[in-house]
Amino acid sequence: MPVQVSPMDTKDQSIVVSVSGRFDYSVHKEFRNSYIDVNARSYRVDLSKAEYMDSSALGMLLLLKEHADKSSATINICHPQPMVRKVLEIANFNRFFKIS
Amino acid sequence: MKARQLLICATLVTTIVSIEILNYFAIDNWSRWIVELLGIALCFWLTLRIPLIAEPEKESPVAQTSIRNSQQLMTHLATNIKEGSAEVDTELSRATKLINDSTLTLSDCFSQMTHLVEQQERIAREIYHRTAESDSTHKDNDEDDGIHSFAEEAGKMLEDFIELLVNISKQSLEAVHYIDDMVEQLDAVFDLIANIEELSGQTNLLALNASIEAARAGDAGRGFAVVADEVRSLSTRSSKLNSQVRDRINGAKTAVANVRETVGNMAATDMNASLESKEKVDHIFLHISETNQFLNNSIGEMSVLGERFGQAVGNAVRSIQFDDMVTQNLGTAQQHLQCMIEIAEEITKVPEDLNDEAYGTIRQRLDSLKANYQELHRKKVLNHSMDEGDVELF
Repeated sequence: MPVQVSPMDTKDQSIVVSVSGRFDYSVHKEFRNSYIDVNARSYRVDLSKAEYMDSSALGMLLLLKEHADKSSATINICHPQPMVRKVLEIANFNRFFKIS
Repeated sequence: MKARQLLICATLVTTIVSIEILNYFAIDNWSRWIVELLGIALCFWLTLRIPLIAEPEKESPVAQTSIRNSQQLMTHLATNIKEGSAEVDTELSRATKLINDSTLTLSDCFSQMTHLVEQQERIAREIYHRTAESDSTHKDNDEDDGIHSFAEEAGKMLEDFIELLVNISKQSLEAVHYIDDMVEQLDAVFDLIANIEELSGQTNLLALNASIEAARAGDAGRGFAVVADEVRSLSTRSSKLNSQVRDRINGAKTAVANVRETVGNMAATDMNASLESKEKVDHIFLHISETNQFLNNSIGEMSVLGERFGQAVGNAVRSIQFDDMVTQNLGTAQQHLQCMIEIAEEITKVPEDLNDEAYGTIRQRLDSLKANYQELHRKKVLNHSMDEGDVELF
């Protein structure tokens, strides 16, 4: 499965969504399903295994942000690879997300 | 001279011979002393007389010819000197004129050069200030922003474009999600249709049973059989309608699937082209900043060079003032030449019969010419020492 989601951490009410391989339109349903029924305090998106990212991935992240904003939850994008980091940079995503 | 030597020799021989004769006649020592003294006195007298004796020799025709020849030669020489000096004088005048003309032209050229260099320097300075200004004030000034702000604009446009692209992706994905929700609803409608079909089947079966029961009842059941048939035909129509609804909804599902695919395509755009564009814009920025730096440095250097060039031309213009000194030197040379011509003139005037009075007059005039000449020389030396003192001022 290209998208995997960890069970909710009961301590800080967070989930980790990991995307591997190509982060593109083909995974949009899975990505949405990973969070749509969850009401967490913080979401971490682990991109250490994502090799490619297109504009739909950016759209997915924005939709996740909309979902998180409803409950004032935080989003943290972790460990993007250089190529993916570049895409995030040119889209100015550091304005909306914490990228580490 | 030979005559004088011969006379001295003759006197000495006479003295010695007379001493020997006196010795021969054994005359006493006193007489011998007297004879010797007489001989010596004779020698002195002869020696003193020699110019008078030699004088007639100079008066000889050979000597006269020699003097005349010398005089003619001197006159000839003096004439030659006069002619040569006149030539030199003309050449000197010509040289003075040439130098004056040339220095005038040079001065003009140099002042033109100074003017041009000043213009060039002014332009360079203007360019320098312009670029420096556009570098520092391009944010406040919309009209005069140049390449720098053009690149900035391009960068901003690219950013806007990417933002737009991401927004389209986001909204397309949202639409896809709604379509998925709609498809779920349509699937639910299919379940309902299946239920309705089942109901219709059951109604049909029920109507069939009713018509069988009506037939069994005979005449009493005839009216009921008509109703049962009607119910059966209603169920068949309902079943037909159901399948039509199923077909329509299937068509709608296909259409929705097409929309979903199209919207999905809208959502997915490869970002590599944008990445490349962004890199290009960054590269242009770097290039512009480097070019600006280089331009500023070069113009600064040009300005400095222009200043130095101006200084060099200024020095050259001041150096042209050598013209005055050279003209002065040439004037002095001409004055010297004039003195020489006058001296030569005097030489041609020497009369053939040069008595003491004529000699004195000529000598006096030559002395006065020499005094003139010496005065010129003194002035020249004075000027030179003054010029050398002035050199520091150039």
